[in-house]
Amino acid sequence: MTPRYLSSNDATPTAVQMRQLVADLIDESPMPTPWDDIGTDAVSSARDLQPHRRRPVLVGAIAASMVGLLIVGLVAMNRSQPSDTASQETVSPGSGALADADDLSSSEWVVIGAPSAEMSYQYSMVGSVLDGSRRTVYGSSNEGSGLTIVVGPHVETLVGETIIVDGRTWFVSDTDGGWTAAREVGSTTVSVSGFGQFDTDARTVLGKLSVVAQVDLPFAPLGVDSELVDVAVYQVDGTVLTLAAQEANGYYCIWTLDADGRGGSCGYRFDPAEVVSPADLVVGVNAPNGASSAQVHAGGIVSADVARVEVEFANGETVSVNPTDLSGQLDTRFWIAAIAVPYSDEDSLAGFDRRVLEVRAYNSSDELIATA
Amino acid sequence: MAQQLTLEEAYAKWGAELVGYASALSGPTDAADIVADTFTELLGRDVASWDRIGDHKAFLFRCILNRARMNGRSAGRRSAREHKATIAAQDRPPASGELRMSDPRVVDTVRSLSPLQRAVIYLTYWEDLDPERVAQVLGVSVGAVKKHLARARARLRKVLQ
Repeated sequence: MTPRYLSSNDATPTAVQMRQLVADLIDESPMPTPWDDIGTDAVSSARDLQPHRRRPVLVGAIAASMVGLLIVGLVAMNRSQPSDTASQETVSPGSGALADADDLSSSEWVVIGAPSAEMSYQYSMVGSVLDGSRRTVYGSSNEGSGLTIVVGPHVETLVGETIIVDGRTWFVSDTDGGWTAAREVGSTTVSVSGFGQFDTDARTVLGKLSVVAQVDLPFAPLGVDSELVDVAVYQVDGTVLTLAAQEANGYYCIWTLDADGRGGSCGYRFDPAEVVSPADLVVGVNAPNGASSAQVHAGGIVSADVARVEVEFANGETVSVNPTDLSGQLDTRFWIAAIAVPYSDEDSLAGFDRRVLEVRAYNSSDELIATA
Repeated sequence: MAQQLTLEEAYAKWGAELVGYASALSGPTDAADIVADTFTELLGRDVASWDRIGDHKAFLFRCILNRARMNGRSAGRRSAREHKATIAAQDRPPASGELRMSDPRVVDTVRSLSPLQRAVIYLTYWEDLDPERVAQVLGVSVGAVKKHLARARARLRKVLQ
């Protein structure tokens, strides 16, 4: 007899169909990596990345690190999306063509010079996991795919096929699903990445790169501390959690702050037509070493007509919060909520379940208007 | 008391199964890396922590899920490429009631499922675990398991109708 939980709601899909689906999912599974290849160089790298001290840790999609400025995750997820409502800005040529530059100062950026049919400016960002001085410009090509231009210090020897554009040597290499072209400019490396094959359009992009001062960017770059706005606050288990945000051209940096530090990410674009951001936009765990309980938090963005947010965590616990009205500062609202949960060494080792099951948004009449 | 497995023994015993599980969560491209990275990280931890774990297999399923979730954020482009390949490879319409990954509608639907939902499906339909055990393995509530299962089934049902 089929267990009830396999046949609830409807007869389809049947357990046999579901099993077939799983069989298809794992049908093309690769062979496991040989054991001898595990625990060699890769292990050393992993050890190097581990914290050298045991202290409260904050992990999560956005709240991913307490170690300084961390900009990861959602950038990669969102930057390839062409912007529907955010301004498609172009940049006026500034200091001149990159081809003419022999070095770049720490306040200079590289963009596609205007007028540009090849790329529209979306946003820019300062900093990265490993290097706070990296300057990155994200844009959208005329075909809607993303282009990324990064200026930073030399990290490694450039490799790839060499091409000459305007008398300058670029190293072009294939990446996962796209291409990267890089060249050294004095003490810096400039790299340009795009999707698909490196073709004549991509080559044209390299020939149109310009150098501009930071003040000449269409919007202030994300990742600059001074422009953070506290957008939501929540108290749990004696700990005050604050959500802080920064916006440029419809793109956001969002940080979670507590007494021990902060973690966050940049590059998320919120279209108010969405009403509510994805349920896992901001998720994290604050788990003090040796403690038997941890604080799981979640946060997100909602449109201005959302008056209440209900957050259902993976353990079934539900929290209701009122997003902060930020009229005059931002067109959107933010929320943060948290629960205290049991925590063990095994949780620490396995990685902690920090998922949010569902986020429900209600308007001022307390009508459900969206879920995520 | 059951004999404790070393990490290497656990890998030899469950490695292939874990790669299959990772494939179900994230697709075949990253599956081996997800499993290898998980064991690499565990190798970097102290042995005593591993030895204290009661149910190593359940623990590893949970580790793989957590790593698959982290991995998922950067997999969008790859997924799109695999999707195109799947569409290109499709040479026949699915038979009535057939639920196969060669059907781009199914690919779309499965891709819309979260790693947790895929994990619930895998453990329920492939490992034949009941919701209580799935909840225990994944470290979530039984209610969450049932809810994810219901939602995943509801989405897949639409594909069949």
